[in-house]
Formats: sequence, structure tokens, C-alpha cells
Amino acid sequence: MAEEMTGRERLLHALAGEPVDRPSVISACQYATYELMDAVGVYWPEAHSDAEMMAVLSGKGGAEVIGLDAVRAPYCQTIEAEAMGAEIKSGGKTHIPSIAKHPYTIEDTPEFPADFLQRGRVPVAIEAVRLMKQRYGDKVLVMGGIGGPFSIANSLIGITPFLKAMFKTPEKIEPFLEIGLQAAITFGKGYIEAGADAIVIEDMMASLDMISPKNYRQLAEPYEKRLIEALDVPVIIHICGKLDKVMLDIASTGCAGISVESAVDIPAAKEAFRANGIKTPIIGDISPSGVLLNGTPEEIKDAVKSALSRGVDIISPGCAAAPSTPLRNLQAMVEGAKN
Amino acid sequence: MADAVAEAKEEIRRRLADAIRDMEVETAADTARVITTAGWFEMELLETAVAAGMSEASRLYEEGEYFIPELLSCADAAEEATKIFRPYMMGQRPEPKGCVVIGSVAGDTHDIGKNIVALVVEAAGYDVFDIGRDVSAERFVDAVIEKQADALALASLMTTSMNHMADVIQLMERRGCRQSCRVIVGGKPISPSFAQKIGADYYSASAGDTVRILDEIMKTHGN
Repeated sequence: MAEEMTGRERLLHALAGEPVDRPSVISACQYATYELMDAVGVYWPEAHSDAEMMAVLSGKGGAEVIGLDAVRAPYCQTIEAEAMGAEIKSGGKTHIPSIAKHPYTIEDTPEFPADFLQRGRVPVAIEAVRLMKQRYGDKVLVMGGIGGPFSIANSLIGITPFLKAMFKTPEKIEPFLEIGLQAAITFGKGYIEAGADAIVIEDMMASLDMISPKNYRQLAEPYEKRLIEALDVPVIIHICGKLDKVMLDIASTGCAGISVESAVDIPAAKEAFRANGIKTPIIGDISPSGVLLNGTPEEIKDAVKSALSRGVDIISPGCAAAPSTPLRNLQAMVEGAKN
Repeated sequence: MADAVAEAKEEIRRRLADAIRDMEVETAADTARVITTAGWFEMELLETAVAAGMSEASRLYEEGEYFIPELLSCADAAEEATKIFRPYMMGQRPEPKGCVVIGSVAGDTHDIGKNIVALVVEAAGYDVFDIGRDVSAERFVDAVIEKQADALALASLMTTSMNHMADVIQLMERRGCRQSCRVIVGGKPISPSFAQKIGADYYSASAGDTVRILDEIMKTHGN
């Protein structure tokens, strides 16, 4: 049966809190899997640094093979740090790239490179978004992925020295947060210039698994807010972990949607949102490890129904999909929203 | 007189444990200096104080009072005290409770959670061989065989790398060391059902949890 809405319309309606023909399904974080690579004939590691391949794997893979309402690039969270001098270790065929050496120590004064948009894989991801917009932009929403200022700042010096400094010498981390913000704004504007309909901020290090609610409010949220104010498209924030104590704070950044995992008490968050007149949709919370990786398609459809019944507005894996996730499981997540 | 000394030792033990729990690096160092000045060169005194302080800290973490930055600062205080104590302690290390190999699996360069688990487990009296992050299945299994480890603790912070835990367990089977070594898995994306599906023996939710699991392993499987 033909659907009434395109994925693009459906997701835009869902983000605006307007009626939809059926629940919208996206993947806020990365969704490239080994079977998706087989399906489109494009593989890691090449797809990390080739715009055409990235556009095929993310665009064709997301829009046509999985059937998501939005497509996104890239796959890892190392691009900003690489552009600012980090040494990157290739993940080969099976992994995503990781940071081998951070470019700065806490004692350094970081500098934002004027040619950020020309550095490393920044132009690759932006070009991939441009290509996806040309090819799939009428059917699905095209999203550019960036790190949150807090997470980018972390990636410049390393998480352990960063967290210790937060405690002992907070004044020393401020320049890193400012540079992180500048990188995120510049990257986000680059995507928008290339045609991105929306931006996804992954601020995974600002998780309450790592820092206290007080730290989130002081060091992550204000920068997320400034970032969102600087970008004139809908911005989705993804943060991992149990965020119950900061859901209202995240909403106060002005984001268009909050992507969370199943650790969050969604009925409680929705209740608090209602009480405060907040309409920000909640995106999630299909567990990548508990359900998507090892579950059956039936279990995944049940998880989708459970998520909807708990108040999730837009269905998505709760975090990045594990690359060995079966393709049929990602497709079952879409199917689960259809009936 | 003997009682007075015992009391003084108990007092100083508590003071050091509290300093570690309260992230007071200076106080921890001062307390360690008091201990060495008094000539109480007993490894047991330091170890029980560090264990008590770190276990208090990990309890506060589990209760949501502390977060990772706090735990790291507690560990710094413990390290500071140990540094002052160490030169006096050569050759005094008591019999470890058991031997644990720990690391983050291939593809995962995060190690903060793993480092904290290693610290707390070591403070609880285990021999800990931390083989780092982004560790291949081969290196894990080599270490388990070489150290004749009682347990292997695998960490993964990323959904994109967690499935490599299964590779390690399969390689242990093939190389014949699966029976003699219990496997504990943990990390943000890991769940008890995931642990069960990949054939791990235990899922651990925290550093404190890992110590409880290890104590149980040594009770049921230890020599």
C-alpha cells in the first residue's frame, strides 16, 4: 500500500508535533552496517573519506534499503578533532576511525583553524550531504552530523585529562569549549550551505554516565544552546545514558528533538514536558545492543510498539547501530511503525 | 599501650579512607606521611584504607552522588598516598585474592570506565593486568594464558565495537582457556541479555559490581 506522506513530510510533521500518517522512523546516530555495505556495494574504510561512497552508503542505504525517513552522514565522531590536528587511526573494514593522538594537552591554548572547512574529512561529509540532498532530498530529510561542543572539546585533549580539569582547573577547559563550539557552528553551517535540512548534534560525552547534572548545566548545555541558535535549521540533540535529571535542560536548548536511549524514563520526561508546556519531541529508544543486534524482527516490532506506547514521538535506535546488526532488523524497525 | 597504637592506626586508616572518598589529595598525602613517619610500614594498613576509600567512592557513584570526574579525583588521592608509601613497602605485597586481565575490546579506544574498574578492583586486593584499549582478541587470550588469569574483564563503550567481545570468547574456546577463566563484560551499551547471548559468564554494571562478581568467582572457582 502506498503511503500518504513522504519520509521527509512525515518527519517534518513529527518534529513540529503535527499529525502523521504513521510514526516516523529515523536513525539519529550512524546506521551503516556490514550487511548494508553489502547491499549497496560500498564499504568501510573507503566510505569514511569518499563523498560519493558516503552518499551511497548513507543515502541509498538509509532511504532505499532500510527505508528511513531521514538520511545522515558521517559514521564516526572524529572528523572535527582530525581537522584540528588529531592523529586518526583507521578502523579498517570493521570499525569506525578513532583518535590515536589528541592534538592538545590541557596546558595548551587551542586555535581554531581558519580553513576548518577544507581540512581532513570535513569537505567529504559536507559533499556527501550535498549529493544526498540532490538524490534523495525530495523523499527524505537530509541531516548533517556534528559533535557537541563539549564532546569536541573532549576529543581535543582526551576524556580523562578533560574530566580531571573540569574539577581542578575549570578555567583551563573554557578555551577548548569555545573552540569546540566554533568547530560545530562552522561544520553545521557548511552542511546547511550544502543543502542539509537538519543537523544532528551527538554530544555523547555530555552524558550523565560521565558528568553530573550540574556539570551538564554549566559546561554542556550553554554551548549546545549557542550552537543551536547559530544554526537556522531544526537541530536534533543525541546524548547517551540516563538523562532523567536533565531532560528539561536539554529541551531548553531550543533543539527540535531529543534523541535518547532506553535508559531514560520517557513517560516521566513527557509528563514533565507537559507540565512545563514543552513540546519538544522525544526520539528513540530502540536498544542497539538489547534488541537490534540480537533480537528477532518480531521482537524489534514489539520494541517499536513499546516505545510508542511509552510516549516516544519518533522511532530511532537509542544510539549508533552496531555494524554487525542484521539488515532485516533495521528494516523491521521501519515495518514496526507501519502497522 | 598496644591498644593505644591499634586505636591510632585505626584512626589514621579512617582518615586516609575519608580523604580518598572526599577527593582530598593533599590530606591523603599528609596522612600517608604521618603513617610513614610513625614507622607503620604495613602494606595492610595502606591497602585497607585505599580499598575502603575507593569502595566508598564507587558506592557514591552507584548511588548517583558521584560522577566520573569525582571518581578520577578519588583515584588521584589514592595514588598520591600510595606513591608516598610505596618506597617503604618493597616486597611486602600480600597474597592477591586472584588474578584479573582487563581491557577495552578491539575498535574501542575509550578506556575511562575500564581504568576506573581496574583501579577499584586493584584496591580491593586483586592482581590486575590492564592490557589497555583497542585490544585484539589474540592479545586478550595471550594474556589470559600467560597470567593464568582467574577472570577476564572486557569493556566496550561503543555499540560499534561491542560485538568484538564475542570474538574474544570464541577465541578462548578455540585456544582452550575458556574453562579456567570466567568472563565478565561491561560498558555503557552492554546489557545482561547481551552478555548471555555472547556467552559471557557475568555482566557487570559498575566497578563495585565487578568486585562483588570477582569475590563470588574466587569463592566458587578459586583454589
